[in-house]
This record gives sequence, C-alpha cells and structure tokens, in this order.
Amino acid sequence: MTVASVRRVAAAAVAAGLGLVLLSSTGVTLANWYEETTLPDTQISSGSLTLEAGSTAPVQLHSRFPEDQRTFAGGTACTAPSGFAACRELTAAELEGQLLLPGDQLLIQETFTAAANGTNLTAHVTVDRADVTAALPNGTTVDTELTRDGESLGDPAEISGSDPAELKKAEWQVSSTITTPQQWPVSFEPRSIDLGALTVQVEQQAPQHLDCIRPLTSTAGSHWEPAGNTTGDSPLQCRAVPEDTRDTTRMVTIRQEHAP
Amino acid sequence: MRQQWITPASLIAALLIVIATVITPTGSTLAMWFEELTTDELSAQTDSYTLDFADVPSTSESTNPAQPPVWNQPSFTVTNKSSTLAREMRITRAQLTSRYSYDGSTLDPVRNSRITFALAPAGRTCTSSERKQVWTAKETGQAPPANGIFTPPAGGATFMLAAGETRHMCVDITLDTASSTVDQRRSLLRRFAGAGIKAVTDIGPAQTLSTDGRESGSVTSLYRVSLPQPAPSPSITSNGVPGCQPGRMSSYRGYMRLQWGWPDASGSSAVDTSVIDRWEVWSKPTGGSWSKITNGYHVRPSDGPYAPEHPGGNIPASERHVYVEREIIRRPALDGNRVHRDFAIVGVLKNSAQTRFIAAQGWDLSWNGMSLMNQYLCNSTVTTPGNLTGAPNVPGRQW
Repeated sequence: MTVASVRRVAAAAVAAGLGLVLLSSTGVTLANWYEETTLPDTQISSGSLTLEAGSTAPVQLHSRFPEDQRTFAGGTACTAPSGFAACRELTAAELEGQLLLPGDQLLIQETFTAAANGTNLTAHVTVDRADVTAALPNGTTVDTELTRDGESLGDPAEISGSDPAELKKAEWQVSSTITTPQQWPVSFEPRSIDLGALTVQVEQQAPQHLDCIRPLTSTAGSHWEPAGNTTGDSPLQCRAVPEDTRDTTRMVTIRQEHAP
Repeated sequence: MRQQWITPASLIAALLIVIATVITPTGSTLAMWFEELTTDELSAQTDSYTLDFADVPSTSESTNPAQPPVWNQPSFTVTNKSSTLAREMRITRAQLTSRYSYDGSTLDPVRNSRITFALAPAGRTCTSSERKQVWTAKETGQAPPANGIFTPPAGGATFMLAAGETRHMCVDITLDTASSTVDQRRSLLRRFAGAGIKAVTDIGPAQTLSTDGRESGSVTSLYRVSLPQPAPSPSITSNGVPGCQPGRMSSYRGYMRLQWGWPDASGSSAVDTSVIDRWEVWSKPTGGSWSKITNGYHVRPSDGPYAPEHPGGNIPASERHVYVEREIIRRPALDGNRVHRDFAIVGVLKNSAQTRFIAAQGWDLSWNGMSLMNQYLCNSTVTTPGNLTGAPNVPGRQW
C-alpha cells in the first residue's frame, strides 16, 4: 500500500467517524439499545408500539328515576342496569346540557387497539381517569375497567411483542363508571361539573432479567443441598426483574446468611 | 498529488454530513415508546333537588253575611325547584287545633268540621272551586285527639309535583252548618264567629335527595271565621243617630234605648247566639276612660216602672238592645248643664278566654239633669278607640 493510499483510507475513516458522531446525537436512546445487546437471549433488533383510538361510545346516564318522572335533554333510551330505572345514551354535547341528579351514574366507554411489535418488547397499557370525585358530592365512586376482546384485564395490562397476532388485533375497551350518592348536599344545586377525560397510555417497559434460584436445604451435616429431590435437580424458581431495579445483592446475602 | 486524495475525502465527508442531517433520530421517534390517547373533556350540569313551602295568607273572610264567604281560605304552596324531575310528595301529618278552648263541644270548630287537603288546579290558587282531593284529615263530628295530630294512612296523602311546578294545597274546612243563604251564614256566625283553626301541616317528598337542603316543611295555616263587630241598628233613630232612642222618662228615672245589630246591622234580637257569652255596655265620661257598666241599675232590659236590672251589667247573648239609665251621665240638678258620656257595646265570646270584641261605633249621649225639662239626647255616634278594653277591639288575625 502506498503512502497516498494510506492517507486516503485514513481520511475516509476520519469522515466516517465524524458521521457516526453526528448520527449519535441522541446518545441516550442508543445507549439503551446497546445495553439490550448485552443481555443473553434478549436482544432487540427492531420494534414498535402502536396505540390507535377506536370508537367513542355514547355516554350512558343511568337514572334512579323512571322516564315518566324525569325529562332528559336529548339522547336516546337504553337499557337500564340493575338498580336503575332509566338509561339514556348521550353524546358529549348532549351530556353537557344534561342536568344530573342525586343517584345518577355515568358510564363512559372508549375503544382502542394496542400492540407491541418486536423481539423482547413489552409495554404496559394503563388508564388514567381524571379525578372527578372532587367535583361531585362526597361518596361518589369511580370504577375503571380495562378489557381486551371482552376479557377483563388488570391495570396496568401488559402487551408483548410475542403476543399472538389475534391479540395484537384485539379491540380494547376502557369503561369508567361514575356513581354519585343518592343524596347530595344542597351546595351542589345548579352548577357545572367538569367530568374530565380518559387517557390511555402505552409505555415500554425496561427489559427484564430472570433471577433464578435453586432452593437449598440444610442437612445434618454442615453443607447445603438442593431442596426436594436430593438425588436430582430441584426446579429453578425464577422471577422477572426489571434491569434497572434488579437486586443483585439479594442472592449473595442469602448465601451469606445460610453459609455453614 | 495532494489534490488527488483530499478531493475524494471531502466528498465523502460532505455526503456523510448530509446523510446524518436527514437520518438523525428525532424526538418523534422516541415518542413511539410512550404513546397515549386522551378523550375529549366531558362536562355536565346539576339540577336542583330541593323544595319550597310557603303559607299563602288569606284575608278573604267577610264580616258581612251578605257577602260570602264569612271565612278565609287557608292554603300553602309547594314548589319543586327541579327543572327535570317530578317529585312524589306526601303529607305526613297535620296538627289541627282550635284557636280557643270551649267548655263544650258544640262550638269547637275542629270537632264540628270536615277538614280536607286538596290541590288547586295547576296554575291556579285555592280561590278556584276545582279541587283534586289529597287527604281527608277528619270528618265532621269526629273528636280530635288531645294533641290535635292527624296522620294519613300509609301510602295515603300523596300527590305528584311536576318539574319546576308550584301547586297550591288548599286546607278546606267545612263547618257542619249550612252557609248557602244570608240567613244561614248569619246562623253560622252566631255559632262560630271568631272561631279559628291552626293547621300545621308536615309535608315532604317520598324520596329524600338532599343531605342538608330543604325538602320538607312544616307549614302553618290559619283558618278564621269572621268576627263582625256590633253596629248601631238602623231600625231606630233619634236626632239622626241610628240605634239610639229616648225611652220612658219620669221624675225618678229616665232611659235611653241603645240597639245594635249582630252579626250584621239588621240582625234581629231574641235569637240564639251560642257563640256569645254576654254583651256588656262600656262607657266613658268626657275626659275620662272607658270602663264596663257593672251596676245593673244603669243597664236594664226595659224601661218599665219596675224594669229589672241586668245583674253585673251582663246582657244575655240573645239581646240586641239595652236601656241605659240617665243617672250614669250625671246626678239630677236644676242647673240645666248638659253633660255628655260615650257608650259602646262590647261582646264577650263564650270561650275559656272570654274574648271581647267591641263595636266600631258607639254613641254620645247627654242629659241636662232636669227631670221635668229633660234634655236627654242622642247626640251622635262616636268611633270607638282601639284597645278600648285594653285589648284589641277585634282579636288579631294571627295567634
């Protein structure tokens, strides 16, 4: 290789390095990706989270008074749930003009789809219901339920890139039920009530390690053996621990405590 | 030679800078890892859910039997403040007590009346004759309990109050005395004049919606039968003064006849007037004060030579006239000085309080003290002062 050739290669290398520096302007993100590559069998090569709004169902107003005793501002009749005498489905605009009464219950429903795509990608789906209890009489309760294809889920609900395709297409629904007490203080007579909004969030979760232990039992001697079947391996007991919260000292501590 | 390698390197560097500018990760790429959807803000309003109650004062009782009614019409309003909700209302109880207590049951207006609660038509008051019955609290002749409390049967005494509606609840009291004609109304007054019933009605919704707001009420309504004042009777006159006429005169005694009508001016005498315990004549010398004539010598039923006296100055309830002996005005003398004295008729009701009521007009009489040249005159009528007896001339509308 000639001197000139060496210089060309060196110049190209310098230029390439400069380009890499420019490309890595969001070092935090890259650091995250590079960290993942260090985990055995949990590499993420690419991925995405999707959250798409679905339909907004009419708000249901459940009344403890029958239709022949109460007039509603617009809306259409619906089937009243147990404990209520009338039901009215209302658009947001109709609800704004509606006059609420003690004992009323509001059912607010939204649908959406949420999915994770990518290797080893997990995320939490959470619902944030604005606190309306302060705007309504004491004793008002707010119950929020999250379902996927009609199946009730906890909050937060977890989605994963490894979910089956049909789950990734499933319809999610969040239902928020606001139930007011059957008696209100007089201070709640004509006033405007801000019922807030529903927020659905999908948040990527930090990659997790599997912490596994094999329980040991103390024998008559001064040494430890695997619990259960002493002639074979006892099953590993594992749990997923987020990388950033992993307690890497615990197992060491246990061993120290039980050390003969 | 130097140009040969610098040029390609510069081109590569420039190309990398352009590429870096285009493909550098941006904030939107990062946002993909935290997505959220937020619905529109919802809002609503609250309705009212309290109720109002108020007595509707009525002063419709007429003292003239020719201009009925001779009683007032107690009622109260019930207002539903909700704009959207009809409320089922119920009367939970009513306490019905008489204004006065009586020795017997004949005069007690509560015992001797039918008392019902009824709604006036929507948008109208209890002056309307139309009614929707809500509750018959008691029937005529039914003795009230000692505390006067009547309670409707379970599920009874209910009515619906439309959203935003104010309805008049009429407390209808029907005495067991006919009142269609003038004479019937006179008879009614001779038995029940001045009678009163206090109705305290407890009312509220079937379902309470407020923890601290007003949804029930205890409304006090007053029923009154009018109490006409005695009036100088126009059937006799002297010197242009109605209800006054000189009687028999002698050297020993002389009388002036005073006649009044009750319950109206043309009311005849010698009829049963059970509501009255007695009549009294009160008088006042010029510059003096009013007092009852208690000496029967001065108030007699007739002017005959041996005319009896009204003991204690108490005139029987059925009477409508009295003869006043002249000596109460002044002692006889030959000075011929005309001395004046005012006289007024006072009625006493036959209740335990012995309530007095006073004629609005009395008479000014005078005598010159001379037996043979009497000038015992009906000078004029006089307007009686308020509180003539120390109490209001007519009992007040409230109690």
